[in-house]
Amino acid sequence: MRNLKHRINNYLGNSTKVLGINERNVSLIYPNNERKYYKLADDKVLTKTILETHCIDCAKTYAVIERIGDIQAQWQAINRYDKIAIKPANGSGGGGIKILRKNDKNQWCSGGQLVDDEQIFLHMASIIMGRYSLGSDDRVLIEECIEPHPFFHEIYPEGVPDFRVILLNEKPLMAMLRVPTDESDGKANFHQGGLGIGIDMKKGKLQLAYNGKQYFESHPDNNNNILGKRIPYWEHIIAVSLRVAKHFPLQYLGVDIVIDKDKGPLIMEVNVRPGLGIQLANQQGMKKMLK
Amino acid sequence: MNKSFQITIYLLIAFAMLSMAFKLKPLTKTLSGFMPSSIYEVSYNFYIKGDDKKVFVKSYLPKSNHRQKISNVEQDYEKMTFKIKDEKENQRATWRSKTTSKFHSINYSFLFKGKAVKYNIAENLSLEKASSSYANYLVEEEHIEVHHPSIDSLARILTKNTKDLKSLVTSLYDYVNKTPSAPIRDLTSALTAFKQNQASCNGKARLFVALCRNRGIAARLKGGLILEETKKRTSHLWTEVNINGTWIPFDVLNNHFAYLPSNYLELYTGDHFLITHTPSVLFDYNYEIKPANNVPFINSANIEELSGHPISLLKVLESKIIPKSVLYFLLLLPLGGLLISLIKNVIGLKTFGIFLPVLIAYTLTTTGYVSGILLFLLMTLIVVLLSFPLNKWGLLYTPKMAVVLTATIIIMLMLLSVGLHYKLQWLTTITFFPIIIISIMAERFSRAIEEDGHQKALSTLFQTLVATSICYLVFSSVVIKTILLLFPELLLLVLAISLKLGKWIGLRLFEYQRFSKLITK
Repeated sequence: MRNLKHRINNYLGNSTKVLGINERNVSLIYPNNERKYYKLADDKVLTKTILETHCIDCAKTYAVIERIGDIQAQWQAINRYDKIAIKPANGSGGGGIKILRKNDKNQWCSGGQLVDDEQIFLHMASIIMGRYSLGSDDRVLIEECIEPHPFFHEIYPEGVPDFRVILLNEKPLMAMLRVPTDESDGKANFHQGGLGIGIDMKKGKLQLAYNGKQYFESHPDNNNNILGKRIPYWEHIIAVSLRVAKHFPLQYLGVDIVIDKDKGPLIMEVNVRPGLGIQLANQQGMKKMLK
Repeated sequence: MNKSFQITIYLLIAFAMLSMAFKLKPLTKTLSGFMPSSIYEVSYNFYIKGDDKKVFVKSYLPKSNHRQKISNVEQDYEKMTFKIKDEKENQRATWRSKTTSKFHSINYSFLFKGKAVKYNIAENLSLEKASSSYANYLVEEEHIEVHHPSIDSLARILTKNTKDLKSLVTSLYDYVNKTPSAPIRDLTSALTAFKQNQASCNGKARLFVALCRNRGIAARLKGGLILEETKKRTSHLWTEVNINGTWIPFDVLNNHFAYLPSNYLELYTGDHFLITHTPSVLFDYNYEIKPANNVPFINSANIEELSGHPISLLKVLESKIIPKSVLYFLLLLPLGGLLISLIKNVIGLKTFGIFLPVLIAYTLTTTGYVSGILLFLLMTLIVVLLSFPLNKWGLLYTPKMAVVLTATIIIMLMLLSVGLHYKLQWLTTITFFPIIIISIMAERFSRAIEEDGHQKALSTLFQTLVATSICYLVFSSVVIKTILLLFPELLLLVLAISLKLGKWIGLRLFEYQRFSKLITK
């Protein structure tokens, strides 16, 4: 009986520590982020403009294509690179992103398959026509392709893992590392089967990994060690996300960061409505950090 | 900011409560526990002209009883006298002209509210003769030849093997019920109906009465009108059989066994003519029947005080500017909005389209729940199947939606024709659905299949259906609709609750499950 009472109290007590969607919207997003600035985060081209103005490291932009008529001309200039990423400026959830690499015969390949120019043009045209942005016109962003730091390969050899740091009023609240699994097909989101790994922000070390169902000390696909692993550039990562928070007119935001093997930490994306699963990855509610 | 927010909420609540409090007293005066399924305005229209005679018209007037309530009686006639006389069970009116040589038009109208009644006749009731107090209902009458040898032998044969009252009545009923029906306008006696082996309502009803009486069971004719939206001249005759002291209705023509539908207006008892008038004069008549806008639970006879309240929709309803169904729809929409807010923000269900479940739920109240849900899924399926080739061809969004809309409507019209041709009534209700909104929803569903996979898309569709069902439960309640109609102030409360919900920061029910690993630590 007493045990039950204890458990109920514990349950109620813990549930007040967890940040839910209602409270995130009412208490964090609406009062701290003005709607007119959402597009600075939602549109990757605008995001990069701000980042570049303030010399915050991000993937190098090769081209921004606004009109279908410009595709051909711009593509000529792109052809000198060996690896590129094509993205819709206003895509969400990784939709419409295409990574292209040249093979030994100087032909473009995507995911190991040959692609011809026509297919590439068609993809860019459908981005411009709004296929990945709910129908409204969009722009094509072509940028350098990140080579993940070997640290990531020590955990999982494929895909591009990234860090997510959530900040409120230029103060980092929580962070996690998202890593793909065999199931998630290169993507690193929870609901696509990826892992969310909690981060001890003071020590810069990885904690347990969570796949939406259970926690692991090592990667479930290859048993590579995760728990306690030291994160390279951790101080740098925090510093660069603080600079993002300082220069964006958004007080509550999520910053996505990758580590390039040569260039170090690069900002990939800024998020106005960062998800709440980060609490599960860190095994604790976020409300404590808000005080 | 927060202060003005709180004040707004308190003001809304206070105003609504105050306004409702002023309604309570007049409401108690008009409250009526009678809950009818059919409500009609009925008017008798008589036209009579006697060249050089003073003329009269007599007709039966309806009375209220346990299953029908008559109110709002009004009439209009000129230069005539009007008298009501009680004749046994019946109430008969006489209009008599004061002068000769004039055309008279008589209009007598009233409001009918009716309930269906169904009786269960106990098994094993003994076959004893009816008590002497029912002697009047056992005798032979001019057109009910109880003791004619043909009727007598028919009644004997039909009841040879029946041992209790129910099986005896059933046997007689089945025989008359199976007698072919014919649209004979003339009076048909019990014997004629038997001999011709076909009859209209009046012949069949008389034959059934004669057979019952022959077996010593008290039975009588009932006359009245079957109410439907029309102008008509035909009245209807059915039967009442006395079983254990209760008069139980039987309509052998329309196959209602111990059952009287809600739209049967009872006018008189016994073998009479509904209208009699001065012989050999010009006479015409009709019964004009219209469904009425009436509020359930409310006795409309003394509604003035209630509809005189400054915040009242009863006047709007009376004025017939908008149909009752539209008024209900408008009142239920805000409630639906609040329900969806609760379902999404407190429970945490995900739905396609914010107010789609509200609109579908409202449609279900006209199509019926099961067939409506099936039709909704059918339409979703159609749009999803359409979307596959359209997405493959890479169409732009807006023209694609135009294609989806057009194709959906073409298919819908085809289904409508199929439904009409094969008399599938449920299929024809497909036109009630808000096509545009369903098209948008179904297109999003097909995109969700592509982006998030079948499992997630179907799960959201299922949650949409759950939300729809919750709204349907609320919308299909007559009580809730009526309360909203009487107290439109409740919309202010809906507003206050929705405002409050807009600032509610608690965990959604589903989040307790999502974060259960953090909470049960």
